[in-house]
Amino acid sequence: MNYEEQKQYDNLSECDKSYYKKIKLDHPNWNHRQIMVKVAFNHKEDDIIERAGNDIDPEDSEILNEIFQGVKNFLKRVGVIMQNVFNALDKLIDLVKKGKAIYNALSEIWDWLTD
Amino acid sequence: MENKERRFLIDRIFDKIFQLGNVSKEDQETVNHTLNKELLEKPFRVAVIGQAGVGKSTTLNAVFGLENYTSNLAEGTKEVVEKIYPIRDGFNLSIYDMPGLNNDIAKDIEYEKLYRQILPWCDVIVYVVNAHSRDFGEDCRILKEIVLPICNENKVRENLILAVNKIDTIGESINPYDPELKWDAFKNEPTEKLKIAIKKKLSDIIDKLIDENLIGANESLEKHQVVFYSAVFNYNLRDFILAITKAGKRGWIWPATVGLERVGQWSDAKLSKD
Amino acid sequence: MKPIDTYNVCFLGRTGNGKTSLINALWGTVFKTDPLVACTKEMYSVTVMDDVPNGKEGLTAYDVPGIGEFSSDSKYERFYQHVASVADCIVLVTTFDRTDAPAQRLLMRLKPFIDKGKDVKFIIALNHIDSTIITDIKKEYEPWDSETNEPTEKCTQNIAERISIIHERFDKIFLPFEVVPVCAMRHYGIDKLKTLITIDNHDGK
Repeated sequence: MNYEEQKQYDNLSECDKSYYKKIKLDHPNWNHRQIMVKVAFNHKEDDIIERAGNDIDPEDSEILNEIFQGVKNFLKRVGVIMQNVFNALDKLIDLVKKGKAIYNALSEIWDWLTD
Repeated sequence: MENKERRFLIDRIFDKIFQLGNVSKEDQETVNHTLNKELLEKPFRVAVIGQAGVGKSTTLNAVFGLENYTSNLAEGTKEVVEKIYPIRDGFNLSIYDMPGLNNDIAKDIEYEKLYRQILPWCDVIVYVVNAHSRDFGEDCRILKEIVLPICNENKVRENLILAVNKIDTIGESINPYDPELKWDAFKNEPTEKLKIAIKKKLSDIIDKLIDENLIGANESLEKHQVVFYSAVFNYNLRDFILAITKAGKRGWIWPATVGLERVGQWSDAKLSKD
Repeated sequence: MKPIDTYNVCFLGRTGNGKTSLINALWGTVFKTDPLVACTKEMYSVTVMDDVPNGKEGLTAYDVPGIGEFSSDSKYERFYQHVASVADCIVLVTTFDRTDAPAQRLLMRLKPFIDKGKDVKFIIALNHIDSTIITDIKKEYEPWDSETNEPTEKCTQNIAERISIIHERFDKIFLPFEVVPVCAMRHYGIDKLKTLITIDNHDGK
């Protein structure tokens, strides 16, 4: 492993580290990147199996975050650069990332903007 | 159009931002105009590729709520049909239902040309497979040798989603007579025994994708581009929607317009709280 | 000592199509099969002394692992090439499933290895005709008449439709052929298939 790869390995949890080693034994021809993908998917598989058939949370922060990033990148790409709008959007992205519901996030921006 | 009460999620968010951010009328106009142009000027294009029997229709219904709409047939040959669904307020969804490869080598040549023609123009490209397919090796080959190269050449690899459907039937394909390997339709979740079988199957699929350099390699798919779900039971559609949202430059448009609740059941609830 | 001159029958086809069950049904062998999991991973051959074509001392059936799971540069390709080169008769085992391109491609790859000095026979066996799963969708109908041990009328229609598609796709690919509907499990069509395999090409049908 090179330095970058070693860092990534070191940042794994103990549980993931032993899973990493197991994968390496099962698939000796896989490189570090491939093993890391397998480790990542291990969590995903558990997620999928344990999560019941819930409706999609309309305040799913990860999805909302992606929407905001998407619209922001779009506006930038077409040259609509409005700093105050972008700042507000960035703030919104930040709050949603931290798990705030849209409504609450929007109120917080109001507080922040009127400080 | 500008005065009509706007129903898109993104419009309502921007309304709030404008309010709170004290944005000038002029600037508001600019943003709205630019946004509307992008949302309405062309339809949101989705190509769906898959063999008969993988569940393309049920997938489209579950993810896009198509059973709530009637389409206008835009154009089509016997093999590929473009269906345009007017969703709301001028926003249109366009679905290209593409045949899968591997049925007949004579047709494959023709279909590959269709893929080259159509895929580069699509905002999202969904390649649907069956979780219990015996032919997954062949699907990998098709992705590796045909679909992925076309996407890479046209810089639309990020628009691709590998949709692994029917995870609910993994147990039945192992032993159709074992009731413990059947999906619990009442609770809408797998039984304990089925969980183990699904976990093993998903793990095998991931191994195969890694071996084939379809994930974890250069110019391959990202983790979020592989989704495991059951269209029939609406199971894990969340990952599917996330994959659409992250797809290429325009994937965000779908959830930004229709929101995250099931199309047709979208309510104004939370955003209109004041 | 002259080696035994056997009539070589090579069974090809997708994994899970029932090649092994068919061989068992034809010659009473007991190769392991599993109705739920495709399991032939080695190449088997068996030599029988009965029902042997004229002029031959025995009949050897070759059972190869299924296509569709292995790419064309795998080690199995050499097996396929070998059986193709010794074959007097090739039986492609297919089902109602319509993903035929892998079989088409395999036959095209093997064509150069066929012994041109022999009049190699090609038969397509349509197996699992009692299956109600057509293109992965379970159809609700009764495919089999248990009393007569024959397909029902609806099933016969499905068979005819599938045979038509098979001809469309395989007519110019390899060699001329006849399609025989069979059901190894119910021992249907087995005698006809056996006759077709062992009869001399030059005898009338």
